Amino acid sequence: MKNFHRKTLLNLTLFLILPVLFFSCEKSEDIVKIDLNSTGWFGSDNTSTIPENVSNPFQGDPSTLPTSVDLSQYFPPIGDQGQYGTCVAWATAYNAKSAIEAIKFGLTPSDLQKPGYQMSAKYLFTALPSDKKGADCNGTDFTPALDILLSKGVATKATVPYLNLGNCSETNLDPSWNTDAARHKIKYYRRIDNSINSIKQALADKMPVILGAKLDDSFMQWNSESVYQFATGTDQVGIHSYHAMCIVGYDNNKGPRGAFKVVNSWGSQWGANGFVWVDYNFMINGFSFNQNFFIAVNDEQKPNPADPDPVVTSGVDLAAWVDSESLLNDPTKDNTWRAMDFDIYNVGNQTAQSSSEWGYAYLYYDAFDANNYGILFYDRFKNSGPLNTPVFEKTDDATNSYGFTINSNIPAGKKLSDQLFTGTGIRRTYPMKPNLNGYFYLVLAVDATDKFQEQDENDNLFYTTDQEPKFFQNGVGSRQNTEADNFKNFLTKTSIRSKEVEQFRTAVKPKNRNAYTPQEIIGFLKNEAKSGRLSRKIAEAKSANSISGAKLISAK
Amino acid sequence: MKQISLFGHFLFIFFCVNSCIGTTSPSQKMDDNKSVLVFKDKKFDNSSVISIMGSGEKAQKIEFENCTFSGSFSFTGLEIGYNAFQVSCSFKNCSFEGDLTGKTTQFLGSLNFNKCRFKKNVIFQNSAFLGPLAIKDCTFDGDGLFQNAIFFRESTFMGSHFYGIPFFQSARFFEKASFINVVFHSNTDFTIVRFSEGVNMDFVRAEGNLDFTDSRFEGISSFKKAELVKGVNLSNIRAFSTIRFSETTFLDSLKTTGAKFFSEKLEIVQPKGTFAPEGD
Repeated sequence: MKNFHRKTLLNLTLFLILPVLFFSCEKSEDIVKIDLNSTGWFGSDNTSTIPENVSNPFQGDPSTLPTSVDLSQYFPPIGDQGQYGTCVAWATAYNAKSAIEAIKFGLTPSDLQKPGYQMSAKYLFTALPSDKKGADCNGTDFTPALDILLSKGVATKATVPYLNLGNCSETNLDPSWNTDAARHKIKYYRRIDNSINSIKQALADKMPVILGAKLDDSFMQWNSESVYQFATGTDQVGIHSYHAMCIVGYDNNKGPRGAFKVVNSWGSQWGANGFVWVDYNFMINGFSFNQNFFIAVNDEQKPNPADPDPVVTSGVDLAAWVDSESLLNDPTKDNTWRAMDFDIYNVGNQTAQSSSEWGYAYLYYDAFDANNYGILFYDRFKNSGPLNTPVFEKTDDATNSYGFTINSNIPAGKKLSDQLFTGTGIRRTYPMKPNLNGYFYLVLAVDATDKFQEQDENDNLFYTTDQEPKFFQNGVGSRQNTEADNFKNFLTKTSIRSKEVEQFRTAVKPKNRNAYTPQEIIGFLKNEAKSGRLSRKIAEAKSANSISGAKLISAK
Repeated sequence: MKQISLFGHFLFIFFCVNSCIGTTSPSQKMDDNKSVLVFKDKKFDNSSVISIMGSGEKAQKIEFENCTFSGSFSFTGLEIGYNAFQVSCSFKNCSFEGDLTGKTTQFLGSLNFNKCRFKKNVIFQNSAFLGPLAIKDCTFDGDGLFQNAIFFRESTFMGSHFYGIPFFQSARFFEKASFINVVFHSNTDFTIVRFSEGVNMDFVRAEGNLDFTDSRFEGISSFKKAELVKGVNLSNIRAFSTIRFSETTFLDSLKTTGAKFFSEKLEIVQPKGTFAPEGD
């Protein structure tokens, strides 16, 4: 009977006490109750339109990463968003932006105690367009917040303290705050791969990782140094409780299988003095929501603008130039074939020798994930074969890739067509990738394999997609028969070093501030070349059959 | 009156389960009016105990001996919400090829696993064990996920080997928890656990970190003759009774940062030939 009564009693009380047990923490005397409104991330960012960080084949190897990284010394004191749904502003501005500036300028923890070094969550939230945030300072997404950091920057707490929020309407943005904000911009922000190693690599590179998380009940009152590693339930917080925070470090020896250190904005009484350690696997598979991991890079404002038209740069300096890129008007070819009229200038003071075995590539890359790229054609230089007479041949026996081999030197101040066709420009015909779908940039990249140590590498690129990425549907299909989809350069060739030509050297435009920068693309191509992946891409692009009939002729 | 007689009036109809690989029906045993389903030497493709029993089954206990469960396997077959599982279950010499899942489930009867092998994860997160739980001499190849589980009755994992990570974070043991002679081959997580009647870790061998951070020890706990190869973390624990390390072998440090001992002290009786734990 004793057992029966006991069991019955347990049954009866179970449903009453179970929820309490599930959602209580052990150190009840220390529990900090968090207002459920104190989150504030909508969780509705379209991450597919945020460019993914370009991969680096020489990074991300777990064996080369440090055992632990802790960037918390670069963060300001633990913030407290109070009753407002401003977590996105705290994560991106107060925590991430303050930290990347502290890292850049070598600020100390003592410096970071000062409001002048702390970025203002109030400024950022107030600056958000009214249609991008909830009423009464209640919620937003990462994209509009990071876009403000790109376009306006963020004022410090010395200028805009976190006081008197009440009304976060954009109309309350004091114009005088913007002067301070303009000194604290980011250059771009990137989505990073949803993997433990990618997050660790970013942290090892001293880049805090902004995180979008889905909360559960136990998180609301977490007050342990232990590793947070599983979800309980969402009876209290609801199923749509999303929250923005910042990952500040990791430790392979924290918890049973390693953990990330996350800073919150719920005051230092919450969690482990304002932080929480989150288990590696749980971070990826349970805690984070919809792969929302971002890094932001500081805008390195140059004190003096670069000389737009220097007389000459030392060494070899190759500059790409495209006159036009359009459908090939040739009845013998199908409608995938296109023609590019281009040239390559050597604006340096040394000859670009063919013996350096350099090359140029016309490539496409996904506007939101440059890791998804390919080569439309690749031609190389070599000091063998007939002089100044391009030969279409197999360029790599190992990869079975084809292209033109050119045995020409380009002296200082000259251009490639001077050597091949008495300066008339060059026409290269090629087949467009037929199954290209989505938003892509097209760019001519000279010295794609980085054979020359150039003083100015930005002029290696020339975008033919002009102001914004082009939408492709089944490759050439969406571009054919539409003049607007062809590229035409209305500048004269004498503009090769003019400021106007700079518009073709970058995809970053006022309408598209967060596009990949030329430095990212050039750095990415260098790593791709060094790792051998670029060669494989070249091989993938062309089979002997698909490019038979490609021409490299005078553009005249 | 025996408690079980309250349930003795059910009509039991047993049938062979279609997906049970084998030609024989389960045998039926009547023991003091208690109905027991017994399966021996079978291989199951079923996804749950409930599906094996059949929807009309009213057995109070189900026993599996020398059985193999080929895929992921659960008790109720339900993945969402809090589920109740009313039948006592016993598994002897069984092999679970996929995950064994009993998460978010109230187990009203007893659960017994004897000499079983769990080749993937064992998942009992957010579950409540109202009856005794005995996992004896079993092998966990994957992780043992017992986070936030509530053990109302005595629970034992005696003699088992954990090759994956046992996670007991936020678990509550309201009666004695026994891990006697258990071998933890990797790190172990007992953080934020409440041991209302203490925990018995006698003869345990822990090859990874043994982490009790933020846990609460309310009964006498013992680590007699345990071999603790890596650190033992008692940071921020609340101890209301003695935690006894008797003839325990420490090969790494014992951390007690922030620990509070409210009535009793940590007792450490070192065996000869071992060095003193360095503390924090």
